Amino acid sequence: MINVAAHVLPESGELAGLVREHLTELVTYATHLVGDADDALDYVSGGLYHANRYPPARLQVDGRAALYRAVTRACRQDQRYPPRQHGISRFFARSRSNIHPEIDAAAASRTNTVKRALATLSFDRRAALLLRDLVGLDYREMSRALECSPDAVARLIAAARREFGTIFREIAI
Amino acid sequence: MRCSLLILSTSLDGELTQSRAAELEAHLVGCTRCHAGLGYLHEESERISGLARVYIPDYSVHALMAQVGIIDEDTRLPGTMPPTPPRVHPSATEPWFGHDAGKALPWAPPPRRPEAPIPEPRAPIETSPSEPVDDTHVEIAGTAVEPAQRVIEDQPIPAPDEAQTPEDEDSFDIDISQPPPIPQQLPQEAGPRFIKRIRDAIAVRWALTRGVQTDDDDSVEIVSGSGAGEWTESARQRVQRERAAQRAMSATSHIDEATVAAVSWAPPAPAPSAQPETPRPEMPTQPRPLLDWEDQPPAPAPAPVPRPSPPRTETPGRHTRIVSTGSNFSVRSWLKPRVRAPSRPHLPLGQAAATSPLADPRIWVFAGGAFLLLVIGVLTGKHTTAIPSLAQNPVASAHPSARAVPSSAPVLPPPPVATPVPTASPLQLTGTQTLGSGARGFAVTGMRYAQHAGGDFRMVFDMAPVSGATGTGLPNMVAGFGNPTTLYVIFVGVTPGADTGHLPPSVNVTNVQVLQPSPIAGHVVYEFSLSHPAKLSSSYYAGPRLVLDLTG
Repeated sequence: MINVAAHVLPESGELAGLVREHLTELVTYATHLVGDADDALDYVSGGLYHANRYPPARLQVDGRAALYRAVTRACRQDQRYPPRQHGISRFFARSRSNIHPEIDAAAASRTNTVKRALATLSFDRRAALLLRDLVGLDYREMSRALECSPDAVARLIAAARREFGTIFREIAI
Repeated sequence: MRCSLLILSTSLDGELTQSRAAELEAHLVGCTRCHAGLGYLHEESERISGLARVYIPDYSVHALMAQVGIIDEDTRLPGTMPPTPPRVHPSATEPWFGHDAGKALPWAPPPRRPEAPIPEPRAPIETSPSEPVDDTHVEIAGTAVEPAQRVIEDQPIPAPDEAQTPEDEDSFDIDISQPPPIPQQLPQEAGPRFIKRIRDAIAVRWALTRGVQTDDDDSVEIVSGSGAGEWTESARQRVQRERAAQRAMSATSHIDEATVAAVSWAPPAPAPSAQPETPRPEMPTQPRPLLDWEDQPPAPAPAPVPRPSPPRTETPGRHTRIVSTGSNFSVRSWLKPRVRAPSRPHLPLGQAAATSPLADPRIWVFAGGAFLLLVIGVLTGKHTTAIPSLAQNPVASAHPSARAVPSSAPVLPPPPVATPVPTASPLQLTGTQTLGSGARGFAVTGMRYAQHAGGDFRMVFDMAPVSGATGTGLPNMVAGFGNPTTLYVIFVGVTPGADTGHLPPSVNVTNVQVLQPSPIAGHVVYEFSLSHPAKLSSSYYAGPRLVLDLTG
């Protein structure tokens, strides 16, 4: 028997309000997770494209953690929306015209060393650090976003902080 | 309680239970190591939280959510105003509204001919209450009028003071809102306009032709049920079947003129009057339907319309295909561009995004162009021959006439020349690394050295801008090995420091010196003598500071 999940659309108003409330933090998180603002917008769009197909109960129980889980999965699995063209046709792809993120240039230049140290971490450790210290999720929400247990989240964050501190002090002479 | 980074990190996040938190507090009183570690963790947490934030404007939020499909494009964001795009390119507006080039026209259209001055809005229409309003004389916008009425319509409208007669003073006003002001046209451009008019006419027709062809949407196709094509028929047969169906529809919808004349109704002509009729002011009412059956006399019963029988749908066969469609049918269908309708891209669930690159027709255009360039390159390519050097036959080269004279002396191979042993020189470096952005006006203020565990050795060049320099950018630097145990660091636009610093006893570097005079004019060359071959890595840091690491 082929088990096919029912295509149940959540209530559009609920999802729209949730996305409207957390979209800025979602894009900020994805930008520092992948290191590029344009790629981050593609990944956030891909994650929201999947979240638009989540059952309503998931959004009601998980809340914003469901959105961060969708975006994290999109970044990890290279799920972009609209899908990136392959082959020669990528040279003819249209550029995004009506979505313009704005980044604090002063803060971006000031934290250059932090970003370099962050880029050397593995994906899971980088995601855990950003979710905790940048976004402010607690361990329970992070466990839903990273699809692991809260104990694993605690170990992941501790290891990530140790590695990040070592690399940061090594870079910043 | 034992020292644990996991407990410290969990405590920093406030996720420890009360009992464990109390134990940790007691432990931190006596353990300076854990106390310092908690401070480090707190600093790193603050560094992460100080990363730059990305702000998404409301119109971008709306565009992204509409693109994903969470909301419709016309839906407002919850708790916000309707989205307003930040800027609209002038070419996005219709080309016939302005002087900018539109999407369909590669040039700006000429300005319009100045029309007659638009009169001022007329005063409210005053009608005598005793006189009934005759609706049949009111001109209806957009309807067909008789030629006599059109002549009256083209006459100039009198001014309000002329149209208003003294007996209208005791009439009542009808409150009718005035239409919005009509924008004035710009003056006509001087100069020859014949070529421009022809050019615009061709461009407009070409744009209209392309616009009509966008209806040819092949992304939606009926595959079953009524209207579905036969799977066994070819594309050409399908087009022929659709044309035959269109001809049948046009023949069925045809109604003879007698039937139309019997059904239609025209308003009665006004009675001729001896006095010259004063032109009535036009009443700006809403357009009424052409056939208003309630205010009109009963029309005669329409005669039964003979419906012609639908023609037999011809099924083109193998031999009737050319006859029915013309000999150049295939050429016309091939030349007709097929425009794909924009559709929402599909992102598969649960798997990586993948699209077929061959589905895009532009790929084939690009491939065709590349193949054409390849063929042109192969056909026009030239065979190159080596130029004879003067060293091989100097006499023949100097005197072409002596080339035919045979030489009796045998040609001896040149004597072998011993290859010189490579010496250490800044001009012949191996494993070079280049850094910098070409800035000038820096001076080396100091040099520092550090021996790390594992045999690694670090050298730091501290630099600062000299007086009068801007100090922006990084000076160019080239580092490389003259031989395995000699490292050269070459700066451009940098003044060397007074000394090379204190070199600590190390196992890597034995001596440091600045080559005076510089073997390369305008460059500063530092020479490092190594005790054994090592691997070099270099990088610039803010300050600027140049850091060289020797490993191995």
